[in-house]
Amino acid sequence: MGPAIRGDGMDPLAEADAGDLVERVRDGDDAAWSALTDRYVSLLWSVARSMRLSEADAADAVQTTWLRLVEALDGLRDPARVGSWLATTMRRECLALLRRRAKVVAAQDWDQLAGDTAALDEALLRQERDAALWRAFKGLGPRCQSLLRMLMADPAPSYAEVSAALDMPVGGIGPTRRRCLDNLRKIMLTGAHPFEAPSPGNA
Amino acid sequence: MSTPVDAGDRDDALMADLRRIAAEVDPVPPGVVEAARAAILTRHLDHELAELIADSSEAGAGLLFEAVRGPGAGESRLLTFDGGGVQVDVDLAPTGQGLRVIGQFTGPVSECGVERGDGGAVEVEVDELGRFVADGVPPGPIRLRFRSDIGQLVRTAWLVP
Repeated sequence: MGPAIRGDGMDPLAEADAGDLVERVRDGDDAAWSALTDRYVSLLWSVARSMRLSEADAADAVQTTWLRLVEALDGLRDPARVGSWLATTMRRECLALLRRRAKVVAAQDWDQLAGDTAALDEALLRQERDAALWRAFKGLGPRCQSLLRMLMADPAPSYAEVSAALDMPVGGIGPTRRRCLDNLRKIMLTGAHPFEAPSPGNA
Repeated sequence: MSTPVDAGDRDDALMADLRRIAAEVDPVPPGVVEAARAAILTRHLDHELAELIADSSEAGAGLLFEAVRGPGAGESRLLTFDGGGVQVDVDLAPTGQGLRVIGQFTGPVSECGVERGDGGAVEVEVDELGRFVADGVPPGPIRLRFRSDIGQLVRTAWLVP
């Protein structure tokens, strides 16, 4: 990998490519580690929430994934693809946690659970359109909710990272995203919120 | 009708709205960000890794044994790590005051500790039969650190109780 791209007046580490950050962390650069965690922590959180882990389990899975990266740092074969490595590791952590929980606790009614949190979430959203949009999102099927929640990571994940996180072929992501967003618009239009206009310019 | 490019822009705008809403209703908790930063404190270059070779909660997932239940140990979980010439069996049992970690080494070891994901550690005493107990271990990922009889420092892979 080449040197870090330095933007004018920008934090050079925020602009550095992932492979470069990993190399710096290997050399003991703590600021590079902070930049790496800032870049991918939302991706990891989104994987966990997309797989419907509770907040506490999601926090454990995210931390474990970072710890495994620290452990694997020097053996990482392709540092430039650290985002996909993190997504894959996170998926495994989430699956292992879900399996263990399933053995300890009787299977929960996820739809019920999702409905409860939807009510809580809405109290947080001041804009009525945002509330309606989130309600519509919660009305989608599990597959669409999972993919869209994953894509809500900030910064937006690459399709390679999404593919690793959801164990889904890269080529399937774009068409599924389109279909899910279409479904979302349908729910917005035909759902129980007739006062909601479609987005401006598409009436 | 909109062209495919317009549809793509419209999708991107809707996705951006969803991303903004998710940041409001389901943000990454500050503690998760802090824990991520602290994880680098667990980096050490002076040890061998003891890998997980068996986990009773992962029976059938390619690891060594089927789920094993000790008498009265309804919720305990048994794991085995191997590395640095030592094997250690670890039994995890939730209690009212945190986790109880009971361990059994196959060979002589010294300086055993339970390490946490923030770089902290609690030292534990290993008896002459290679057994140890750590009580009140707080939630979150942990690993064991110990020294084998030839003086090699070993750490287990991280485990999530």
